[in-house]
Amino acid sequence: MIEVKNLTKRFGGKVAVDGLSFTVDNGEILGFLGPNGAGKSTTMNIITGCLSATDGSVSVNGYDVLDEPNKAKRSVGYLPEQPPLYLDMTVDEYLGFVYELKKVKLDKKTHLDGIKNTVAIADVGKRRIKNLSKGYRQRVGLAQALIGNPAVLVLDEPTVGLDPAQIIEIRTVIKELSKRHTIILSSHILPEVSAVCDRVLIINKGKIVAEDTPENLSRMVEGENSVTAVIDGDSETVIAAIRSVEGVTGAELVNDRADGGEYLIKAAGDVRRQVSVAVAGAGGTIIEMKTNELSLEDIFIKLTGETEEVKANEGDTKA
Amino acid sequence: MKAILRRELTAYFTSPIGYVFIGVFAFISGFYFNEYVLVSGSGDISIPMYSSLLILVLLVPVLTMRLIAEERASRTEQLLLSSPVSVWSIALGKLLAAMCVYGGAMVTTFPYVVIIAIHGSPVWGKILASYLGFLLLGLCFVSIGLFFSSVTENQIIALVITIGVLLASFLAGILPSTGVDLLNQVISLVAVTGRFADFRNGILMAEDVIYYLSISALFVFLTVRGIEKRRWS
Repeated sequence: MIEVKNLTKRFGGKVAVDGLSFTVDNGEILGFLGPNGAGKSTTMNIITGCLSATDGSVSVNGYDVLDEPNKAKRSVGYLPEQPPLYLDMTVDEYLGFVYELKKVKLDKKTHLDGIKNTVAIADVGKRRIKNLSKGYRQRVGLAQALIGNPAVLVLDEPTVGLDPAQIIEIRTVIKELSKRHTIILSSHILPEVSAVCDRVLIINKGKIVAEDTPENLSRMVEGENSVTAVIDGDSETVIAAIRSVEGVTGAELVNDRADGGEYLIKAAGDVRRQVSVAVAGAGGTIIEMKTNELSLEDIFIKLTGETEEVKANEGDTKA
Repeated sequence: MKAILRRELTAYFTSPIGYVFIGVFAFISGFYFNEYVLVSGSGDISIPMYSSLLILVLLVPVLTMRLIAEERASRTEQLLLSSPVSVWSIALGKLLAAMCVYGGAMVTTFPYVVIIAIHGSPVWGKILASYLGFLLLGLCFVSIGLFFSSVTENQIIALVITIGVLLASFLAGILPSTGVDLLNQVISLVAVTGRFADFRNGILMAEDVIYYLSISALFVFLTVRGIEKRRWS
């Protein structure tokens, strides 16, 4: 359905996408995962024809984006990171415009009404887009992508900036859409991708770092679990007790709190019970204990081995 | 192209820009008509039209500044570029929309022709040539404005550059002869408004028509190339 071969994009001297190759099968939902600036949006812009590649090729539905741009574009619905909305238009005017722009042949009223019902915006048809909330705007953006019933949907961070209730709504809509469309979706949030996608592509600095099902990716990093515990007691004794537990690969005091020391425990597998017994045996009291959810950064560090660099980049973005 | 043309026209008249353009033009051209035709008892409509040129230099950029700059700033450009329409039809749709509003401004001067026809002795060749010149000149101005709207995301920058360029071209048209042949030729080449003199005198020259059409085509071409280039760089 979508075939990307050796895709490269340079902006001046900066390489944004570096020899990316992948395919998306009919009916599949592919998740693009990566930190900001990894090349997700650039890749999507190239697939949808907004940008041209420096090198490599993209074909959608069998049409090469360069050779037959209009046929390829007809097969794609695109929701960019910032929904491309004309704020001075009403929702109906806007959808009507996109319908004409995309030269859709389907019956206008039935088609647009159907889309409005799918994304639940039928009640705001007469309102100006500038007066709509972020959640509605996002849905209007999604409606725009659905016009013409394209075989492929490319959704760039469809849930960014929405509140939790809206995120769940949009996810439900996407899942519903996946029955009729092939979808590429990008995100920098792992749970989101694992909730919706059949397959995940992790990209960093324009390259594919990993490509697998969400389950397999989680399993890959499952080997290393970490637990944060607040324990009252002499820190040396406590650390010694924790280290004595089988499977623990490291334990350190990260923060001294009023109610006890905060420890970070790294281990292979779940060691909470054993740690609890060992600490109690050594005379310590556990105030609090929780497993740390694996974040995208953990997977990144794990997969790329670029601990230092990732941390340095984080520092940059915070500064 | 039709979709873009219709959307741009709607945008002109849901925002004040379309009304302001036509309104201000009608007001100023009406003033000139009163001064040069009614008060001075002349039947020559080309005089107030010629005087209105400076107003167009200031007004057309207001009309064109948003055409592409706004699409870039609001990221709606991505919708256009990912749709099955060529960059040419995007540019031409926008050009036509601005020309329609421009045409609307020209229509406000038709009553003057009627007044002259009833109370004076109109020279039809001169009137028709003046209108044709006015239309071609507008096409030139709009194309230039379209181009400068495509080089920036900022409408104000687009506005200022376009006014600057059109004003420079206007001033070149009223410059006295320099005595240096080559310099004179260069000046007559960039003086877009200078060619209007032939039209207002009722002289229809293929050279002038081709000149206006070429300048317009050049700037539409540059607009399209600019948009395409941004996709490649």
